[in-house]
This record gives sequence, structure tokens and C-alpha cells, in this order.
Amino acid sequence: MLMLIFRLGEDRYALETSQVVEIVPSLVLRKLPHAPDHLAGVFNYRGSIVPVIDLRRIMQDRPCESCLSTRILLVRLAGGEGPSRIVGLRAERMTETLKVSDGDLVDPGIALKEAPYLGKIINDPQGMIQCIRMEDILPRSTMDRLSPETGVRP
Amino acid sequence: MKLMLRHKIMGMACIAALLPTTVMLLLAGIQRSRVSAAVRDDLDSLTQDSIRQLALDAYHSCEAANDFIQQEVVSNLKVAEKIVKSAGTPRLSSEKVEWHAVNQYTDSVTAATLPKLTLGGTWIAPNSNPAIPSPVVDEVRGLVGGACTIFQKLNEQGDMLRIATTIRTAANTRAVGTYIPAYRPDGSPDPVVSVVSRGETFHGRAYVVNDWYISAYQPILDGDKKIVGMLFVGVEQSRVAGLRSAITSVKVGKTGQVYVIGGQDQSRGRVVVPREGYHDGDQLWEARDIEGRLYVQSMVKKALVLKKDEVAFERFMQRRESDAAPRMVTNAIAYFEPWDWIIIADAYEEEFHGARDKLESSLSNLFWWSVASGLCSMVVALIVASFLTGKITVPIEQITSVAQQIARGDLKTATESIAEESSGSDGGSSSHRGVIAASQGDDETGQLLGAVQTMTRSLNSLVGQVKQSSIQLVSTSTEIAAAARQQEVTANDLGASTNEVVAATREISATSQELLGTMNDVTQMAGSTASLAGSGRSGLWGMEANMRQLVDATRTISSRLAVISDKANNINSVVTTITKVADETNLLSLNAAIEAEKAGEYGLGFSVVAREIRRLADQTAVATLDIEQMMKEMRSAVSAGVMEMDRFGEEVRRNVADVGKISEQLETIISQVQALTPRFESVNHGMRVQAQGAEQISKAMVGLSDSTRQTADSLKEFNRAAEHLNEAARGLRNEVSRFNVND
Repeated sequence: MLMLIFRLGEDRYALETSQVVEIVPSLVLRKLPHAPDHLAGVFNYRGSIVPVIDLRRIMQDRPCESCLSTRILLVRLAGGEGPSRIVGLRAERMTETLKVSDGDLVDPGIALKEAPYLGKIINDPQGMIQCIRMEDILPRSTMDRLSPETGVRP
Repeated sequence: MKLMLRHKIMGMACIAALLPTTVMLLLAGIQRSRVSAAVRDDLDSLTQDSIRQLALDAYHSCEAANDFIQQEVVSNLKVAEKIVKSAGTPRLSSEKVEWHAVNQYTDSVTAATLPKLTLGGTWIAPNSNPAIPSPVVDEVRGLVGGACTIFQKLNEQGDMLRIATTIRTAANTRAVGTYIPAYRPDGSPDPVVSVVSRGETFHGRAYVVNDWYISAYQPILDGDKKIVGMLFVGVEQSRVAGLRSAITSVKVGKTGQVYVIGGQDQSRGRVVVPREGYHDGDQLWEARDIEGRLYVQSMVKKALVLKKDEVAFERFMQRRESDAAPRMVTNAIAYFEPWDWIIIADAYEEEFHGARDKLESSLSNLFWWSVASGLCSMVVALIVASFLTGKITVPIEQITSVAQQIARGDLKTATESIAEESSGSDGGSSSHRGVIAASQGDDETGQLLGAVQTMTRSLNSLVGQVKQSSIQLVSTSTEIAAAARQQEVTANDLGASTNEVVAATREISATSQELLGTMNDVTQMAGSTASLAGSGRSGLWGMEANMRQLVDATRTISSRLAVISDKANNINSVVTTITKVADETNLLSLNAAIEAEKAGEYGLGFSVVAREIRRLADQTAVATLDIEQMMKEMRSAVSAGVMEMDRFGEEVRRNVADVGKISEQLETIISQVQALTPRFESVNHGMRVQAQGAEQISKAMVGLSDSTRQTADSLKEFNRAAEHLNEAARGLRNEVSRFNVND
């Protein structure tokens, strides 16, 4: 399977590409008043409003650097029992992909309640890469606020 | 003067008498010492010759005696041999006899048992009593008078034992029982025993018991021709009575004598034939002369090396018991070797000096007689000389007194005294010739007196005239001198004033010369200052121009740098564009890859393309980053350069302004200094003129001073001449005034 590699600070992370819609350059987002910190804002994607989550804010409690390589990853999330919708995830140095097989993924055997999105680990010559489960990345409260009515219609 | 002449004549006479006497005395003295020395040498050699002759005479007497005794011994031996033969054949019997054999050298006793020696069957019994006759030996003595001994062989070594003898020991017994050992105590073989042992007869000098003998030894053979003993005959060497008396009777001088001492071994230094004062057998070996020298040892040493007819001499001071004082003794020494006799003839030198003393005393008498006769002749010469001197000197003394009066200038008295003499001696006659004739006769002295008289008269008239003239001359010369002195004083004053003026002028001239030199220096310095300032100004102009060029260049560089900066900015925007393109490309490749994945197997080729695109994009991004970095550095370098150039330009501009200011100041200086120079020159000219004027004055004044000095000098000369004239006139007057004339 093809994994998208990005960084948050110095740490490398990987996301499965099967749910990826498209990667777009970082844009100027429309900020939402009273939105939580990790909700960086919204923008217009081909006519529909897409919320953008800052992954570094979620994991390291600080915003991404504004560089050319800081991009927004559009993924299709199955929003609970409701219809799926597109969400943007902002991360740094999103410039590479990696082909891995299932054997390359190693289970670390640690499950943190505060970080349920952490998956298996890939052992790469340049260091370990943490896989992230997309379904569990958003806190439940945020998921609830993303109602399907406001989401994009498939 | 009066005494001198008399002394001279007397001295001449004395020398005439003294000189031959002194020469004679000198010659006599020299001759005396020469003769005396020659006589002494002759006498000494005469003395030596005479004692040498005496010693040689004694030596020859000994030689004759020795020959005679040798012959006697030979005949004695023949007699003894005959007697032994007539007594019968010698044989050793079987009977034994006991002997206490005594070594004649060491006196050691050896007991020996020997067979009895028989002659024709008669045993020669030991007999030491001289009163009892012994066979054979006493018979021989009775016939020939010499000593005789029969020896028996003591052992195989050859020791010979005396068994019968006529020789007496010191105790006046027969010397029977002593033996001659074959070897002497010093280990040498006894010459007698060794000769006899060979069966031969020994002739010669031998020491027997206690004395030296002229001897002969013959072996005694038994019937088997074997040596059983030996026969001895001998004559005692020192008992040759005739020879002894002949030697002792010789007299040398008054008390000198001839005597003999032994030379070697036992008899060394022992008196053999005594002189007066010594006795037979006296030991003289240790005798010393008055200086402590061992003279006998010295004489013996000399004697032992002498050959036949040779004589040695020895001199020493000696004092015998009979002498009042030590006397010098000369000894002639001869050595008669066959008997080991040292024959000494001594002579007391003083006894040979009588003739010499007589000669010396007669020479001395001659000398003193010469002295006495010389003195006598001198006294006679002196008496005669004093008489003759009186005769010569009296008239000369008279003339001398007249001359002295004239010399004192007392012409008046001189004339009177001459007149007095003539009247006193001639009874009123005024003729001087008469006076001289009366006292001296008509000889040289008389003529002299006449001449003196004439001279006196002439002098008298001359001196009177000179006196008058000289007084006038003195007064005139005094006036001249006074006038000249006045003039000299005036000239000297003038000279002094001129000198002062000259000195002052010279000072002025020197000062203006110095000032002139100083002004020249100042002018030169002003000129050089001006030229230095000029060259400084032109240097500054060049500098200013250079600086201006520098400012322009700086400006150009600055504008160029600005252009570079702009270009760099342009490049930067291009780079940004490239970066964006690369980014877009990357994004595109990512999306492409994702889409290809979604397409599954159909998207595989596409995904490869997507990956390649992404790689190119990455490389582009990296290259762009490098360019960006380089551009950044260049930009900063350029901007720093721009700033630096701006600052530099500013500084140069300021310097240009400064240089301009300095240049202006120099200009001012130059113009001022140049204005000075002509002023200096006018001062200089004035000075030179002044110096020349002063010098001319000085020269003129020096000329004036010289002529003044010359005038003064001439005046001084004149003055001196006037004084000389005055002095001469005065001297003349004084001289003339000394003469007392008849007015």
C-alpha cells in the first residue's frame, strides 16, 4: 500500500493514501470564531466548504510553520453513522510517498487513551515512521460538530 | 814680576840638576829587581839540580850494591850446595818426629808428624838455641857469612818448614819450626814455593821471618830425585853497612840529607836508612807538614810510579825539633824498585839563599849611593844658580820700576827717578849712558834703559796736548746727545698714537667683515626657504589633482556596485519563481502518485512517472536553494563594499579640502620670503662698502705707523751714536787725566 510521509517538527508520520482525495497547497484560511485551536479554519474546495485541522496543534500543541512544503491533505472521513465528508489536514514537509507491504508495519504494543490515532510503526533506514489512523484523529466533539448537512455531498 | 823671573831661573837650574839624578835612580831600581829575580831563578834551579843529582847518586849506589849482593848470594849458594852434598845424600827416614809448625805470616800453629830428614844418615835435629851449633847451616855461615836455612816439605801442598837455620827470631832464638805456606794469607801463591816446587832455583828478594833478604832458594832432592825440602842462602838487604854510611854521610847545603823509606807492604813509610833526627824503623806514614798535609804519603805516591833514573820533587814547610821556625824543604825523590826503597834527598831552601842575599844587599848599596850623590850635585847647582840670578835680575828690576811709574801715568816721577839714578851713580853728570855704564856696562840692559828715557820724554809732551782737545770734545758731544733724545721722545709719542688708531680701524674692519658674512648666510637661507616652499607647493598641487581623480574613481565604483546589487535582486526573483515551480511540480507528482495508487494495476506506469517527476522537482529545489544562498552572500558583500566606498570617498574629499588650505598658506609664505631677499641684498651691499672703507683706512694707518717707527728707530740709533761719542770723549779725557805731566 502507498503511504504519504509528512513531518510535524522533526518527527515523521505516515498516512494511508486510500482515503486521500487530493493534496493542495496551504492557503489563506477563513478563521471561524470560537473554533477550537486545532480547527485552523475553512476554505472553498471546488464549491464546498472544507474544515482544516492543524495536525501539529493536535499532537504537539503548536501550529505548523508556514512554508511552501506545508500543505493541506484532503481526506474523506466516514463521519460516524452519518455520510462521509471531506476534511483537510494541515501538516509540514508533505513531499514524499512510500510504498510499504503489511510486513513492514510493526505493532508497538502500546495504546494511549489520549492518542488513539497512533497506529503501527514503519522501520525505515532514516528512522522510525509513526502511522496514523485517520478515523481516530479527530476528537469526538469535533466530529460531532461537523454535521453532514454542512458537509460536502458526495 | 820681580820674584817670578828669579824663580824661573832657579827652577831651571834645579831641574837641570834633578833630571839626570832621577833617571839614574829609576834605572838602578829597575835593574836591581831584574837582577835579583834572575839570580833567584838560577839559584832555585841550581838547588833542584843538585838534590836531583844527590838522589840519583844514592839510587846508583843502591844499584851497585844490589848487583854485588846478588853475586855474593850466588856464590854463597854454591858453597852451601857443596856442603850439603858433602854431608851425604838427603833421605827421609822411617822414624817420625813431632813438629808444631808456625805460619810465618799469620803465626797460626799446626801440629804435624813428619819423617826425619837425614843427610848421609845424620838426622837434622830441631835446634833453636844459637849457642848449640846446627849442622850444615852454621858451617855455611862460618864460611861465607850469609844466612842459611834447610827446609823440609811439610805436606803435598808444598808448605816448607824450617828445620835448621841461622836466622834469629825477635827473641834471639833460631827461627826453627816456622814455615812458608804455599799460599799467602791473601790467597796468592808464594813466589818462592811455586818456583822451587817446579824443581828450579829462586833468585830474588824475599821476606824471611821478619826482614827482607837478597836470597836464593834451591830444591833438595833425595836419591829418587824427589823434592823433600829446600836450601836457602841470603844476605840481609838493609845491613849493607857501606851503602848505609855512604847514604847518611851525604850533606845537602848545611843540614839537608839523604834518607830512605820503604815503599810497599810492611815497610811502607818506615825508615830504612835514617837521616839525622830519624831512627831505623821509625814510621813516618802519618807525618804532616805545618799545613797538616800528609807529605810522606804524597811522596810515596809520587815515588811508586817513577821509573829508573827518574826523579820527582816535593816542597813543603816543615819544622824539625832542632829548628827555631818552620823552613821550606825541597825533596828530590827516587824509587829503587828491586829493594822497594824510596830515596829522598832534602834541602832547606834558605841555605841556598846566601849568595842571593849578598847580591841584593850590594845592589841596594849602589842604589843608595846614587841617591846621595844626586842630592849633592843638586845643592851645588842651586848655589851657583842663585849667584848668577842676582847678576841678571838687579838692572831689570830697576827698569821695571821706571816702566811701572810710566804705566801709572806718573811721568813726572819717572823722569825724576831716571835723573836721580844718573846723578846718584855718576856724580852729577846728566848722561844716562854714564849711569848704565857705571852699573851694568854697555850690554842689552843699558841700551834698554836709554830707550826708556827717550820714550818718557816724548810721552810727556803728547799727553799734554791730548788733554786739552779731549775736554772740548766732551762738551760738544753732550749737547748733541741731549738734542737727539728730545727728538726721539717726540717720535715715540707719534708712533703710539698711530698704533692706537690702527688697532681701532682694524677692529671696525673685522666687525663689518663678520657682519657681511652673517648677512650672506641670512640671504642664502631666505633663498633656500623660498625654493623649499615652492617645491612643497608644487608637490601639494600634484597631490590635490590625484585626490580629485581618486574621488571620481570612488564614485564610479559605487555606481557599479549599485548596478550589481540590482542585478542580484533580479536573480533573486527568478530564483523564487523557480522554487515555486519546483514546489508545484512536487505537489503535482504527489497527487499523481495517489491517483495512480487508486487506479490500482492500471496506474502502475503512471506512478513511476509521478515518482520521476517528484525527484526532478526535488533536485531543482536543492539547486535553487544553493543559488539563493550564494546570492544572499553576494548581496551582503556588495552592500558592504558600497558603504566602504562611500566612507572612503568622503574622507578623500575632506583631504582635498585640507590640501587646498595648506597650499594657500605656503603661497603666502613664499611671497613673504621672496619679498625679504631684495632687502637683504641692499643691506649686504652697504655692509661691503663699509668693510672696504675700514680696510683702506687701516692700511693707510699701518703705513703711517711703520714710517713713524722707522723715524724713532733712526733717532734711537743717532742717540746711541751720540752717547758713544760722549763716552769716548769722556774715556779719552779720563785716560789722559791719569797722566801727570810737567806743565
